[in-house]
Amino acid sequence: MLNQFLQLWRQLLFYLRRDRFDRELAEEMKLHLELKAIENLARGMSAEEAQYAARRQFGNQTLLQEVSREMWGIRSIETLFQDLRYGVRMLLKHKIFTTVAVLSLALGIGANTAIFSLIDAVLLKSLPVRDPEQLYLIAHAGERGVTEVNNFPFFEQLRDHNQSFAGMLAFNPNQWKVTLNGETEIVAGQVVTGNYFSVLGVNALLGRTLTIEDDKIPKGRPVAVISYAYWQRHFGKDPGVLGKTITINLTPFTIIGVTPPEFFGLQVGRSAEISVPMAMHSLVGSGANLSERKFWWGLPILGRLKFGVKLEQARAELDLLQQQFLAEAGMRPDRRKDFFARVELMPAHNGLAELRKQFSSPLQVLVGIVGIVLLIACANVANLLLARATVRQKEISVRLALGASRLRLIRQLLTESLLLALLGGGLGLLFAYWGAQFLPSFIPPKSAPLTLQLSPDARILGFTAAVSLLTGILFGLAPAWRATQVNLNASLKDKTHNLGGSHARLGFGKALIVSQIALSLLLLVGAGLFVRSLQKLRQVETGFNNWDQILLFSIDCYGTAYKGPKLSALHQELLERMNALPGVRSASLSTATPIRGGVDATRIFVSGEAPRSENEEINVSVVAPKYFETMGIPLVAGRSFSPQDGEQSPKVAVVSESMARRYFPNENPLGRRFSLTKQEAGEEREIIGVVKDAKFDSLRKENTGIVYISHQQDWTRPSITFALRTPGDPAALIATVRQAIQSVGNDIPVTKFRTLAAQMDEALAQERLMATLSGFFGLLALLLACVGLYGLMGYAVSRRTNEIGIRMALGAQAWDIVRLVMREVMLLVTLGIGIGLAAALATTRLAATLFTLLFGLAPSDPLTITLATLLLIGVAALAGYLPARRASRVDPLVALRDE
Amino acid sequence: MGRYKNSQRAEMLPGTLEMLILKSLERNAEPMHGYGIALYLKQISKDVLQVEEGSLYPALQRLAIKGWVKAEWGQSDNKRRARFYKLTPAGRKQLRQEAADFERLLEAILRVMQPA
Repeated sequence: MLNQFLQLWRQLLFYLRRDRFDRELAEEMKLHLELKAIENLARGMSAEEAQYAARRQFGNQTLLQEVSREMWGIRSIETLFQDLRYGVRMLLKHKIFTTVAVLSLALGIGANTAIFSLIDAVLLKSLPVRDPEQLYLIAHAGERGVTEVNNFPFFEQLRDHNQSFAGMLAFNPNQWKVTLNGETEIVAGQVVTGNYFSVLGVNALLGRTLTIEDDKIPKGRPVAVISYAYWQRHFGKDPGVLGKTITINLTPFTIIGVTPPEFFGLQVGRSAEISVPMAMHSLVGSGANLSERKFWWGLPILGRLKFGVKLEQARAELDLLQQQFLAEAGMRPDRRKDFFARVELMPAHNGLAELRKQFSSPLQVLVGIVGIVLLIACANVANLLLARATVRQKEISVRLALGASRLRLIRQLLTESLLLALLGGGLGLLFAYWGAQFLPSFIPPKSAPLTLQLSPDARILGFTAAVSLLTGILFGLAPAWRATQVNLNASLKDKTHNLGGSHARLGFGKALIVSQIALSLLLLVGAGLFVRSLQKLRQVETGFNNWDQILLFSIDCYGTAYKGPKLSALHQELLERMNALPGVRSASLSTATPIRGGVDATRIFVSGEAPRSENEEINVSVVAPKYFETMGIPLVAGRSFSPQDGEQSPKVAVVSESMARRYFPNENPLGRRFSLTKQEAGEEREIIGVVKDAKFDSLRKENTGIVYISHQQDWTRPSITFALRTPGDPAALIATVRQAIQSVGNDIPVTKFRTLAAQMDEALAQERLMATLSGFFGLLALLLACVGLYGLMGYAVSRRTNEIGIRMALGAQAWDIVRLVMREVMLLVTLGIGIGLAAALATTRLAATLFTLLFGLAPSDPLTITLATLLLIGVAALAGYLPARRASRVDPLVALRDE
Repeated sequence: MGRYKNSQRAEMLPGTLEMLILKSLERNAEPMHGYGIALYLKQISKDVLQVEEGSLYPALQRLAIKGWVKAEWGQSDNKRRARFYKLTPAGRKQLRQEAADFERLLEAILRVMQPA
């Protein structure tokens, strides 16, 4: 061991003194030579002969020096530095080449890094907490699916009686009206249990985090912990922030701490700027009653598994606790079977993310796309390198002749490539950072602006470096190999068109171009598919006329003081207030949110008919009068709800066309009766009108029909969406509406303001992302391929200058020359398209994910493919035409003279 | 690269050159310069082992890295500046090791080559 160390030490010393070593060795050898000469003299040779013989016996001095040096084993470092210096010199010498190459690579690598950082943030990154793999989300599962709702007594039960978890926390995300120094804004915050920060293992950057003490007395401690970003934005990182007061929903809170910059809460895509104790819930929480055992609401519970405890064991224990709790608290058996049959523990190490489910397919496709873009960029650089290598034939041949080993030369050329790749990678990182800034704008905020931690970190840098290195080797190896495969004799002479390698170079270059074109076609087809899907989705009949005039906002009074008659009164008052606002033509409300809202569904029982199967359900929405005119849903038959349809009047309902078709095919549905619950005689409703279908669920789903009930004749739900129609721009109305709501009550939990147009955009977020990005990358790929084509044809033409000159001298016209070149261009393009089409048809068969992302199109949609092909042909032809035209302009005399 | 075998003289078993150099230094007791070592080997082996300079110097470098010899500048007989090589204690140990290995190898070869 010590020997190794000493050896390394000696090697290091040697490296530092290597020049001296050369001198000393030279001197040593000089002496040796002299002594040898003396020996020869003694043997009777003449002085001259003696010297000559000595030198001959000695051998190749230069070689000896090299070999001796080699013994010291520092060769590799030396050559590395040598290569690097040489590489940098070469790159600086050919600035245009370097710029084009680095730019191509930067675009390719940058695209990959950007997408990777997105994937990292959404799918991969672990939470910046202690031991994130030990964190699990406690959810309930049953026959119908999984739910993450809980309530506080249930949390207490789990927390107090479990053995498997080192700690359990609960939190409730909220949106608050926060006033600071007289300014008010809407801020995303959360109410957390006292042990939230300690269970997670997050320490305060400044001040302290919340503790169990803060959470003991209800409404006792109005303290708050703020996020780093909030601190930066509002306090300019002033350390004097501790002790300052902010007002949340009219309650003053004292700031006691700031969390570190990388901590954003537990929900990916949402940053919890302010955290307050659960004890303050009644003042600033979502309104649910903390002692309520029967209602289940949005209160995520996470547990930190004790080390050494098996997951299944913990789950089983919680299962038992859940059974006990449900036995005491009571739950409808069907609900229990549907969602609360057992406990599920879901890994939470990378946070809770709605985004994940929505975006994992598109992200996977995007990875494929940017990978292809990188390949195309690499092919371009490879071609560029080949062109340069051809120019450097002479230099390479001389070096080979002087005794350089081929491997050595390849290594040096490869170092140049790696240098290019790393430069490209560095620039690409910059591109990625800029690009990533506007990526989140495609991903809709659920209830608050999206904050993805897209900052470059070690993992992303590592990824970029790895990609750069691989890229460098990929595009550098083949040209390096080719370049050193030289017929020494021929190349040392001056005849440029005797270069044996250049034919091969052209062939290889053409192969690269063909593959680039094929890949570009693939991407263009993909982009076309996504763009047209988006188009088709936007063209889907929403059922709402003039829908760009509608403003929506939702309120959720679940668990608040607004219950029963108070709730109805609130809704009524809000309706009246809204209708009275200037600029509002009509206002109404509904339980179903238009376009991709969750829609309640239920069974209905048509009177006089046998009940349908248990699983057959129909959407239901409870609406206020004037709903259809507010939303622009045309009435097809009968009438809409009127004020006459009050509480005491006979119950009525309006249905949509699809519903009528489903339940009353070939009949007039008007006058028919049905009930929503079991056949209750007094609960039957009469159908008084039929309206056109409208989209309340996803745009992709077919209309399955909906039943509308008047809110005056049904129990009002706590969670409803208000709709306002305005002749002008709906967005302009927001401030006024907010004020109006305030004047009715300042504790009304408003969850969302948006225009119907924005809602639609939100619903199409995934499609918009795919269309935009795939379109961008498709065009980028096309550009890169055409630049490559242009370069290659330029080279090909320049090589044939001689031949062109002869042709022109023999009478060929400019047009003939152009045709000559274009024929070659089109051959390449056609070949590329052929392969691309085959590849496209082959992959679409495999890409099941692709299919789910599209809408209204098959992956092998002929129109899209045709359009993409035409675009490619057009642009490629242009790229090839430019060199062709240059060729035709050649002066025959000049061409003939060129050797 | 690194063609450092004796092509014209008697082929030495690989690795023995270094052992021979070490032994020479031990036998001579006094430090020797490169030429001196080559001469010594030639003389003692009665002209059979004639080391090429192309092999000698790289071998000396290798011994120096490993710390088995130490090189110092000094004055040669005819008042010229020369680099002298000296055996180190570690070198002595290595020599003993290599000598033992070599003997074992030699025995084995002789045994095979004995007339049946």
